Amino acid sequence: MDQIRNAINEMYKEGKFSHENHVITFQKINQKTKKQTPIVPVILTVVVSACLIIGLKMMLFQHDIQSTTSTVIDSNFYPEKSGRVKDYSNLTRPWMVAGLVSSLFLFIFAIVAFLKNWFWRVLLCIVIIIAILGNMSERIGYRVYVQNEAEIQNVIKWIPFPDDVKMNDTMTIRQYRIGYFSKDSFRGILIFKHDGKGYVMDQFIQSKLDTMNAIYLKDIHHIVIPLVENHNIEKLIIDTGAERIEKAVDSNDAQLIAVPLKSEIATSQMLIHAMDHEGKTSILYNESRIFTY
Amino acid sequence: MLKEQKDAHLSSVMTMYGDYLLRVCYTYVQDWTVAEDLVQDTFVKYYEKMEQFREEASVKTYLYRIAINKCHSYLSSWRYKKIQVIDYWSKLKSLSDNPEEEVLMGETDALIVAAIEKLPTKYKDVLLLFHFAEFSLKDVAEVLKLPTNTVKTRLRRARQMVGITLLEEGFEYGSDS
Repeated sequence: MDQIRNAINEMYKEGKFSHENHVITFQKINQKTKKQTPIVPVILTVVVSACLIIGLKMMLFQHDIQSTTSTVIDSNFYPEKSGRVKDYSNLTRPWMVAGLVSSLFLFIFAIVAFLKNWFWRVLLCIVIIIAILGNMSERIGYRVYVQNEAEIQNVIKWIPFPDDVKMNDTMTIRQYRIGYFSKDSFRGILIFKHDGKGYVMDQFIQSKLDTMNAIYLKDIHHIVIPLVENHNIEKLIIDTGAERIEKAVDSNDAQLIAVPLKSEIATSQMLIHAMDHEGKTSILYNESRIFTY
Repeated sequence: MLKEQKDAHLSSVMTMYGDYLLRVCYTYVQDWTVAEDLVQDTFVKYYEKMEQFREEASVKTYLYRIAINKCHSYLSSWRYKKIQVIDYWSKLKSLSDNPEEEVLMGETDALIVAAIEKLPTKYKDVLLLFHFAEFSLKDVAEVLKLPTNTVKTRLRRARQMVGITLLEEGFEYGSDS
């Protein structure tokens, strides 16, 4: 006899598949017909999968939190739209792509695990997928469209700014719409840019000083100059280095003044002077307080 | 096949292969209760597929294949890993020598078996199937779903490893015959 076989048989001679084991085997065979699949992980998987599907449905299909309306005002050039819709542009960021790919792989593995009756692994995969997608859905923001001043005022609720603001002025220059508002010593400017569907919130500038930031809209060669309340300014003088533009100011209210420029300029050379009713001039905005958009 | 016939056939198969399968499984799992459990499961699975087997040789091949697969699954299970950790800690706690083990290790068969038990699973598979279950190289390859040359290589290495292990313990064994 083979020495290895002999050694194992000798050393394990007490190892006998006894009659008791025969009986247990038959008991297992009889039980097998009753107990087909482990019920707990199956139920949990079904419940968790249902949560996943509902979550996905909420995340992907319920785009609009508020009802949206669209109108075309200027010969199809800048159509108007209002409301709030999900912004999926975040999904193209590297970590979001990594999350999506991971979820996809986990889902495929979950299917394989399900086919192999690895129900606890299926459950684990589903839980991880929910965690990833849940986290991703938290990071998907909104695109807020506005049509008028009241809607701009509503938008302020979504940004970090005190409530009950006073809307000072709004203006629309081609694809840009700008809202200027204040609350006590806080001032803010919201810039909306047209995305082909409507004016969507894009930038928020806040200041606690007496003056704001002037905004240079580079692509349309416009400069937008915010003036604070009781400014006592009679005239604005915009010196770009290449040209000098004078703009009269009608009232003492907080307001936005838009000045068209002839061509693209370098803000480093730009100075905005203010002239009061006595003819005194002072620098209102210099290079450091001009925001190029 | 009638249920009574299936039961009778299973009883005879259990009588014929039960002890051997139990010993093979014990070589892997080192626990008689677990080994019994795995062999019972092997026979349960065989019972479900009984109609597919007509030849005695294919029954033996199937039983060893299932038994070894079940041992592999057990060794990679959380249950086994948990036991391993508990054993490790209990060994750390009681570092005193085990006199019974020393007595056993003094015997030739014990040395061979101890060396086999220490083998990595893939070498243990071929060694047990070839030497203990007395399969041919071709049958071992079929059971393990490996190329015959791989089986040959593993068998040679397994023998060398058993030989080396035994040499370290003062016993020379493991000729490549």
